[in-house]
Amino acid sequence: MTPGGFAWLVWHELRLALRGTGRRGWLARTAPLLLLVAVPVVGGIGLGIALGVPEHGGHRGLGSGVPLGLIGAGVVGGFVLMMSTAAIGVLRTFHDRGDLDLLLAAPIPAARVLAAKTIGVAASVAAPFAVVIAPFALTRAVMGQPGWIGVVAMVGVDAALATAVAVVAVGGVVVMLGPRPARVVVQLGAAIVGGAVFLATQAPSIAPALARRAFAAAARPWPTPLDWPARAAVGELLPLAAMIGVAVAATTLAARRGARAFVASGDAGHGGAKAQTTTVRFHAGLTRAIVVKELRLIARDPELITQIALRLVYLIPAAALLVRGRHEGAGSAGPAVAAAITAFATLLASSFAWIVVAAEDAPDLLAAAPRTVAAIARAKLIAATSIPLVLVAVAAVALGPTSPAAAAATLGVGAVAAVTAALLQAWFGKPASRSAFRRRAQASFVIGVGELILAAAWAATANLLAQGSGWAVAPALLAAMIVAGAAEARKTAA
Amino acid sequence: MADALTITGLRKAFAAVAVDDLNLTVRRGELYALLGPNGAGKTTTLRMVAGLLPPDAGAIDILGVDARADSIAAKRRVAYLPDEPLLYDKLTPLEYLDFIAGLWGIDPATAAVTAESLLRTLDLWNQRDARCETFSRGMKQKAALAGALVHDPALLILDEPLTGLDAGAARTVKDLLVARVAAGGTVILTTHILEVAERLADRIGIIRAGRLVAAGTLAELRAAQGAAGASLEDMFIALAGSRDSAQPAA
Repeated sequence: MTPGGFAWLVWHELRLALRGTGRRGWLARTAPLLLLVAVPVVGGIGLGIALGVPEHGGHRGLGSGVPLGLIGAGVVGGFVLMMSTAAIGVLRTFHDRGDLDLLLAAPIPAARVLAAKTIGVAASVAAPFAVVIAPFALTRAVMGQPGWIGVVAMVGVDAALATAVAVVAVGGVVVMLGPRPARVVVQLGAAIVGGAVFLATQAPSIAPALARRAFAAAARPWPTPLDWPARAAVGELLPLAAMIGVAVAATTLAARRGARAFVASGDAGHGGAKAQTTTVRFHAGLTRAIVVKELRLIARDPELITQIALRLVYLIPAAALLVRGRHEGAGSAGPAVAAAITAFATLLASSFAWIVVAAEDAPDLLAAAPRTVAAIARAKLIAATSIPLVLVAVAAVALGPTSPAAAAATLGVGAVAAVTAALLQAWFGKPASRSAFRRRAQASFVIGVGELILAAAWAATANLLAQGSGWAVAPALLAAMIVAGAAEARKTAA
Repeated sequence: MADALTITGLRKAFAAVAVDDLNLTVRRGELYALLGPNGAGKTTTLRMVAGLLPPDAGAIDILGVDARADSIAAKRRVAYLPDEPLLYDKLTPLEYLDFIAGLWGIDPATAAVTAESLLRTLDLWNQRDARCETFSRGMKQKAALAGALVHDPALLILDEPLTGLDAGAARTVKDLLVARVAAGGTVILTTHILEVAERLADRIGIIRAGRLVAAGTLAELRAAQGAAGASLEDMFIALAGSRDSAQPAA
């Protein structure tokens, strides 16, 4: 590759995106990635071969036996999902990385730089989908169903279109609002889209009747040319060529016009937020100082909030199943809600504890303060558990009139669960920056698993206690053993 | 009356020995410049004095308080400002000072008045409601300095306080340090800008490989070296090592 050339620049972007995983060392960075790629590749090829050679050719690939309307819905769903990752990718690549000034100062055409960045985002958006889909689809194509190539091509088309739209949209928001508010808008938007798509996939569990109606509506044939994405996905040549043409045109236009918004905004990572006039009253007290500081820092970090919110969104289907199961069993939903709230509170407290303890921005400042380590740790524990405890209290109040036992179980077990989860993180969380929140489970696999078992054990305790079952002692004992084991391990380590 | 800082037989080793049997005294009401080449042990020494690093051996006495026996009482009298400002990007300067006041247990009314005065002196009052993440390096350094001063420490320890400051800001900081000393406070600073030490410091200590190799006023250093009229730079190179080690840190 020629240094400064288009391919070289694209490779540079992809390399930076890969290194964004934050792991050090080639092996530590590459091994999990290879594993993540190897599983779907081997699985996809194996499944493709296992289905055997089609008897009658089946040239329509994915179209064999699946209504075109549903395929179209899948293509649109994929596009929407990719939009959320593309928007974040665009923000990171064009703004956060802060290398636009460096690249544009180099003696290479600006258009080439912007195009390479756009292609880099599109490639990183397409990669996870391609890894999952391509091995199976290409195997089926080789086995006699060439139409499956259309699916692989449409992954690229979806990614390119999503990136093009994201470049224009995010660029527009940056110009209109400035870089920092744009970041908030993009992150919240991406989180809402990601959460909505996840909930949509879980619709059959959460709202079966609504899901059935939506499925029937999507399965109906779509009018031409709206059905072209579906026809392209099943390998019809003309629609496929048209879709590829549209993707190439959109990407080119976005790189030439949309990406320039980032240059025109004059910002390559040095945002200037407008200051709002606020009143700061000085107060006394260590606990108050630390709690207020931690809550302020969390409230001002939209990326962190969205990541925490997404973790909780993933619990909604399980909670919905629990509640529905109780309703269908003609029992009260109280115990199920108690379990769900307890699990919520446990994971929320653990997340906050990691943020306020492990991700402390200025540990030396606290260490230099004339306070004991224990006093600061106590204040941080209060900060980490304050929001989960409010959540637990609100849920208990809401449950009280209809299910007093569930309310009591939620309040008691939920509070203990939040505190123990926070303790676990406070004891073992390794110092890291807030941006490493998503990867914190990788930093300590044992804590990650321990946190999940703890959440499950306390949730089961709350559920059984709310039902008045003596078996509540069993999961409570398990949770207590985890905490006691962690305390002992901490003493030994000290 | 006890000295501001008395270090006796201080030792700290990591993979190699960083501070080796260091003895040092800083008197009350003086501005003391601790100089040394990169890796000489200056920052390690200051971090031990600030209570951020436990010494392997030796004693640290801060204004009559044994810092190893009663670290909380010692910390109450000290402020430490490292070269990388201890700031929270998402807090405003006022919120940051409110937090520091809470940590040090300062009376809120007093802290509010001091905070306003400091921010005005450091030309940050107009930015009091802007988050620190929007600040330049120099503004962050000034906000961190305000944090170090808001609890009115008797002993102020500054590690490379002028790094990243423009000429105007550097002048403001220097004036502020001189004013504190004039008001009876004690300041210890490290710097690679020898002219600053030469012009501001009452006494200078030169540390090399974790040991104090010279200490005194400029005149005393010259006399000890037998080099009347020599510049601090000449003496530093002679005492601390090669010409390379006298270069400012990057």
